[in-house]
Amino acid sequence: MMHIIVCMKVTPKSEQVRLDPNTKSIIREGVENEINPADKNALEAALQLKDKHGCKVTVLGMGPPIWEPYMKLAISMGADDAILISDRAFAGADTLATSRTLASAIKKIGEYHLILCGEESSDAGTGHVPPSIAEFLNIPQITFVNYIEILDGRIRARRVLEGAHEVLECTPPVLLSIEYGCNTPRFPDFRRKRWVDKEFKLKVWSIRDLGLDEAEVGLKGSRSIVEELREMKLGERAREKISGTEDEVVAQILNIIRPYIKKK
Amino acid sequence: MGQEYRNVWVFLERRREEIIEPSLEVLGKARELADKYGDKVAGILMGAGNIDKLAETAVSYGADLVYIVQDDVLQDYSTIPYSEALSRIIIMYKPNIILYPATRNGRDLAGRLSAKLNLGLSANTVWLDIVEDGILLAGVPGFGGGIMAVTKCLTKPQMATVRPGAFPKPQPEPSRTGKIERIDVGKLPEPPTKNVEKIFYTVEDISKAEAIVIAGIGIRENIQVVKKLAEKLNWAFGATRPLSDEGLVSRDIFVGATGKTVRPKIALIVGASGAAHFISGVAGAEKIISINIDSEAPIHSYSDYSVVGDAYKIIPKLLEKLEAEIK
Repeated sequence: MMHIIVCMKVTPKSEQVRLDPNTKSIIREGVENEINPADKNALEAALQLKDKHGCKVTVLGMGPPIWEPYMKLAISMGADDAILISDRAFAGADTLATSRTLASAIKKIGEYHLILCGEESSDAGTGHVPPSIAEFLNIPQITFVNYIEILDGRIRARRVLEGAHEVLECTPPVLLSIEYGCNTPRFPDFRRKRWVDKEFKLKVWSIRDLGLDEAEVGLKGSRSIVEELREMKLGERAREKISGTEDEVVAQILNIIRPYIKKK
Repeated sequence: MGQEYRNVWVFLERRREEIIEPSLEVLGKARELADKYGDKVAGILMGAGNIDKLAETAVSYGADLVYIVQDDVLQDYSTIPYSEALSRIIIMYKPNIILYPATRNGRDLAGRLSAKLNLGLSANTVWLDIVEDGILLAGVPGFGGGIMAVTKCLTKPQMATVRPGAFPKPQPEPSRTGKIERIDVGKLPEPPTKNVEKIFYTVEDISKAEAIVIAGIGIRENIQVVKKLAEKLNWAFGATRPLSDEGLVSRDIFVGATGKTVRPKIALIVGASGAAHFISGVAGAEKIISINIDSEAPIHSYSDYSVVGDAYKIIPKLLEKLEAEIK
């Protein structure tokens, strides 16, 4: 049976995040969290393959213990197993240290055929973690995928580029990063949720379980750092008011835009 | 041994037989950084067959030298042979900085290289500066776009992916001269992925538009009329992220911190409240006119001309007038 590992992150709902202008730090209080939207699409893609081919799906996250409900949500949606790698030593990781840590957890899981990740996270938005994990695992990658098929044990994936797409085939194991919005994630199954609440045990692994050194993970294992947070100057403008009756307003708008109208 | 960790490299991504615009934008910025630090700009060009013409283009856009790696396996972009070739020349030449366009291929490659060579990588940068000792400072928009994290790599070469549209494309100078150098990197691995289909299509790239109409969630029910207005004006059409999240418009046309950066001469913004993550994508517009019914909406402060009014009434009327004017 094919084993699919889905890497998952929990992110703050980006529209709710604010910067404290005095301390220049991010205000996290009162901000709701969610499964990173693209990761949810990756999970749905894995569950669709499970529905069709009977795969085993494991979700893997790296974060604090408060992520437990989100990991369990993935089980209620249909995943078979969930592992949270959680350790204070992992804090402050850049994409390189994050990828290294996730890759060593994947190695510990052992046999796998597909690794699915969301194409990028909604908070950091780098998209660099999936290719870095693939390199640490020394397996091929197909990034920005919006469609997957399994054909005679081969993986076929459609990769979306700027103004192009390509269809690639590969023998597993392979890592795929899944395009945000390419499918509609299912709702959790009610009966499954009851079982999860009662009986499901989330596996939690620490740095020791992974056999990693503190110098390889978290802030210490990072090779890029944030020097400071700056508020971006968004350039306030003249704000010349246009008012009057609707016809007057329309006439004024027309006067402003007329020089820019392009003849076809 | 010469001095190590010199020069600013730019990954020159190809689309068929052309260098893509985001790579040319990055060349322009690289030129500025190199000049500040008294350094050289090198373009990295990979492909099969003769691509010297592209190297000449890179020189005209600011490269002092172009390294060409030529191999049949480099015909089309593919992670494994490209990352292997690039890592070999990085080890040979030890650049100080490597910049990639933050396109899908650019991010695919840079992420792989970061892990391969254990190098720090700043993502999706919109602001770059070079300070003493050739240290690169890279600004990354985060958390909705109102905040910029200034990041620094702790390893050399320092790497960053650069947001398309974040920097203007420089004017080419055909009289510029530069050196073109072919590098033999030895045998490269075949791609483990087989390309069974590749289709190119033209999508209008709104980040290059000279004029644009942008719809916000406030005009959700009348988005078709806004689109029609854009067509009538012969302007590009864009939208804010919520409309794209709801699947009402394509992801390729949403403007904002996680979408496109536009720098048109004029932008007409309809029914957008003006959240920071949207404004950061449109801040480069020369002129902004906005229509929003809520007089308290922040969009008004970011506008040169602002209308507090009902776009559902104003836009159809505007379209009607235009149709009478432009036959």
